[in-house]
Amino acid sequence: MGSTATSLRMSGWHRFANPTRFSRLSARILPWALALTVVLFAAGLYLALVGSPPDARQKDTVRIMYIHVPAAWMALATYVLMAMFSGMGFIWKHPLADIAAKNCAPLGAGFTLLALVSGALWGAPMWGTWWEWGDARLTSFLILFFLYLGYMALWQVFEDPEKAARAAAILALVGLINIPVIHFSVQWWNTLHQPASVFRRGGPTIDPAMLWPLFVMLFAFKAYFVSVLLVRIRAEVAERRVRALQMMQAEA
Amino acid sequence: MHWEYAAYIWSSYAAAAVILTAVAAVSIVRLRRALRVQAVLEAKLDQFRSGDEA
Repeated sequence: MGSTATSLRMSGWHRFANPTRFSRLSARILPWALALTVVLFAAGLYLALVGSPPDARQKDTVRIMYIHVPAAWMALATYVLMAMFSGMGFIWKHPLADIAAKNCAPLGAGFTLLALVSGALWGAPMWGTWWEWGDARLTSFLILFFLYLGYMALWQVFEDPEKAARAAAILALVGLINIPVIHFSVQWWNTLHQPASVFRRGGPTIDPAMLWPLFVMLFAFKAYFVSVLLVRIRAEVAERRVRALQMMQAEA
Repeated sequence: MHWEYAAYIWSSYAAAAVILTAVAAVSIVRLRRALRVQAVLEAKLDQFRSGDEA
């Protein structure tokens, strides 16, 4: 009975929830993920700055899109992933799920900050303003940034990592409500921001000459995310091992 | 590239370089430090255990 339960627990993705096994596996994947990140960014930057045409109306400012849009997509996707890991940690009490959720947050905050900064740099020449408080897309994205900061702060408030994980998970799950608000804000309210032009019914409205560089940059951002997340999880696993070793030494 | 927009365009790419590099660099430094401390502590523990067995 016990062995059946163990084999069931160890089957599927649960096998990778073992921190030692994860560290071994991630050490093998990491060099490939880093190499892929470098190659995709090199190709993406060439296509974005040289290989793609200027826009008929926006001229060369459209090149900001290749930074702004992937950063914004990754900010949203990272939050959803962080909430999923938080939910898994909350329900199944997997320490690795909590660690993964915790280490998604600085990456998500970085993507959100980049989307806000590049958005302001795009807005200034095109809309004539760096920021508009009345714009639902802009303000809901700023709320996303504060959610990431709040989530990271919650982890620091509690000394007990289990209590910190529970509190942070609740915030991450409650904050999920902001994701559809961000996505549909351009449909629900009148905003300066343009409506969805890639993931929409009827297909993308962007010319393929601009769509391809955009997707190459998106995959570069994704490869970067996977690489840095693996580094951060490995670091956290090693830090927890260090704390355990220090306790063992203190007791010995 | 239209010169009047160049400052906005390069600033956005510079912001990306700074933010993405900063997050990656902090993460790599943190991993290297943790692995180094872990190796030292494990070596000490092994030494302690082998001393116990002797």
